Amino acid sequence: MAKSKPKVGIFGLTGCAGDQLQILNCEDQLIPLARQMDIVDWVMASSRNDHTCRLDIAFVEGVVATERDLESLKEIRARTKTLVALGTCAVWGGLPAMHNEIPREVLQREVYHSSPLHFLDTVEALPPTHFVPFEITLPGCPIERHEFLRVAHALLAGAMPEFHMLPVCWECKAKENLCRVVYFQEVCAGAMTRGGCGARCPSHAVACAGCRGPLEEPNYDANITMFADRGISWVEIARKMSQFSAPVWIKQGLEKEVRHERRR
Amino acid sequence: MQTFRMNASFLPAFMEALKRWGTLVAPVERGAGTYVLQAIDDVSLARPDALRTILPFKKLLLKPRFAMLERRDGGRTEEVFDNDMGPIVYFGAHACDIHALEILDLIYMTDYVDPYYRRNRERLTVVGYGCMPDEYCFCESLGTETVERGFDVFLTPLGDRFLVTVCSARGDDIVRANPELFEPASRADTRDYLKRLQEREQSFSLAMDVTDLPYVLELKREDPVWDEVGKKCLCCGSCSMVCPTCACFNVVDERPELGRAVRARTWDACLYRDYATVAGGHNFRADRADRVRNRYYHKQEAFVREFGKPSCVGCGRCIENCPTGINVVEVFKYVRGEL
Repeated sequence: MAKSKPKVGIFGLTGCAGDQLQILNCEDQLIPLARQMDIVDWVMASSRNDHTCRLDIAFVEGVVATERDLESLKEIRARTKTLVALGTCAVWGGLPAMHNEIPREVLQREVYHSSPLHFLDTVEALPPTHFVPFEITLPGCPIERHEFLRVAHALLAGAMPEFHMLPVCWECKAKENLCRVVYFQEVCAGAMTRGGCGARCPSHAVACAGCRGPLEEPNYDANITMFADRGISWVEIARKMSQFSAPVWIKQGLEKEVRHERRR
Repeated sequence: MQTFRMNASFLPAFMEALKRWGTLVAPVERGAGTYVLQAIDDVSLARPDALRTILPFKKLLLKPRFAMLERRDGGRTEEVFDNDMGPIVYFGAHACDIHALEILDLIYMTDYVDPYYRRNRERLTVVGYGCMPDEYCFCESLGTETVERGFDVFLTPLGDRFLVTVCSARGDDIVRANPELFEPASRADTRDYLKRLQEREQSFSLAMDVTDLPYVLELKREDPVWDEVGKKCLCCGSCSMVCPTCACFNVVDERPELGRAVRARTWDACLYRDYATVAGGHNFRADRADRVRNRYYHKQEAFVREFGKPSCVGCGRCIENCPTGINVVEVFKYVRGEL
């Protein structure tokens, strides 16, 4: 008897769907992968889906930004054995959570002006990991294809994927890039950010924006002090350090400085 | 050991001749004032006078990441020779680099011989090149500013000529195969060489007091200085990556594609939180301060106990590359209560 294939679901909450697209971008590996798993629920790629069956593996991308998102997430969790958070939104909140401190009414007014909108029922954007437990978290904006494949192949082999948690600096140094901080006095989030991207931005002479979210223990304080000591203004530091991982980083003390600077 | 003299204008011809012994690798300028070791065909690109390359020569012996074993479904596990670089001529090694090479040999070829390291090491030709220290160099404090062994040929620039020191059978081969480049060293060469040595001695501006350092460290294990450094350290691992003697590695199993598994080896660093994480999620050095302290203790205390000398050669790479400006010389001054 043939071994039964694991049932897999791939879901997007509120987000850009870029992580799901990255899965589709695994062109050469996609067909062999699809043969090994039974993808039963993937609205983005299939028109025939089973929304209720039990799932062995489910991938979830995006943030919880509506009540509906939260319901979907809870339903997915309830029917899934191994749940994987896909992308920085799902793991940390990412871009949608960058400005949670601004009230929704203000955002609505600024973006859509005064036209009355009935479909906007958003709440504060928070990562799915805030609401339900996940077995695996895979950050990235978007995710790296080779990391997604490592997760998928490990799970298919009945193992948990192993990720060595190293900062972006590891890959940056391995490539012998000139350090954006040491040589260019830039705000680079590399030392606080989980690597795996091959230090893509610094390799193209752009400082790391921290899109993959923080390491387990980023030395936030020493990082911002380092930038300030190099003569970079607090406003500039705050602006650069409030991208992507805003909820994780900015709450740790930077808000004060931003307000301080504005008053002056 | 033999000494010769080579006219400075023969340097390109000498480098061309070195290609017979393997891929010529030399420092090449990457950005203003920064250099990387790179295989070159055009010998005019070589900048042997460059003091430091971003990564040291250790990358020529062990790649930052390489595959060790591979297995395809239904097949046997096979050794892959991803790390084998073939014969390499490392041109432009400074005295500190050659001392560091000796330290790596102690680490990788003393008790358990590392086959990956050895395969490249045995095929490595080392051509040294005399240097003048800058503000980050403190090799003199560690006694690594000159070198008497561990290289094949060493060139000391003396203006319009080089003093050529030969220290191995392979070095002798190189000289014998190119007799037109060399002539016997004269008394004037020796005189100028000694003059240069003196000049060099006087140009060191950074010094580290290593007197009884292992004992000082033994007594200062609980010193608050380690918490201070721990607060400042980002644990980015840059110092370990660029250190010519940092040798720790990690081994990971991966399935990069369906039906294929790879066991890979990567450079690692004790500054990373994951490094001391063991089964069950326990961590021997969960605190940043513990990890920073460990790095310094390994270099200046544990290594001395095991091999009789520190595993720091004073190259200054960690000082130059630390984004928060942690300076090993100052750290030890703090430890001694001098700052």
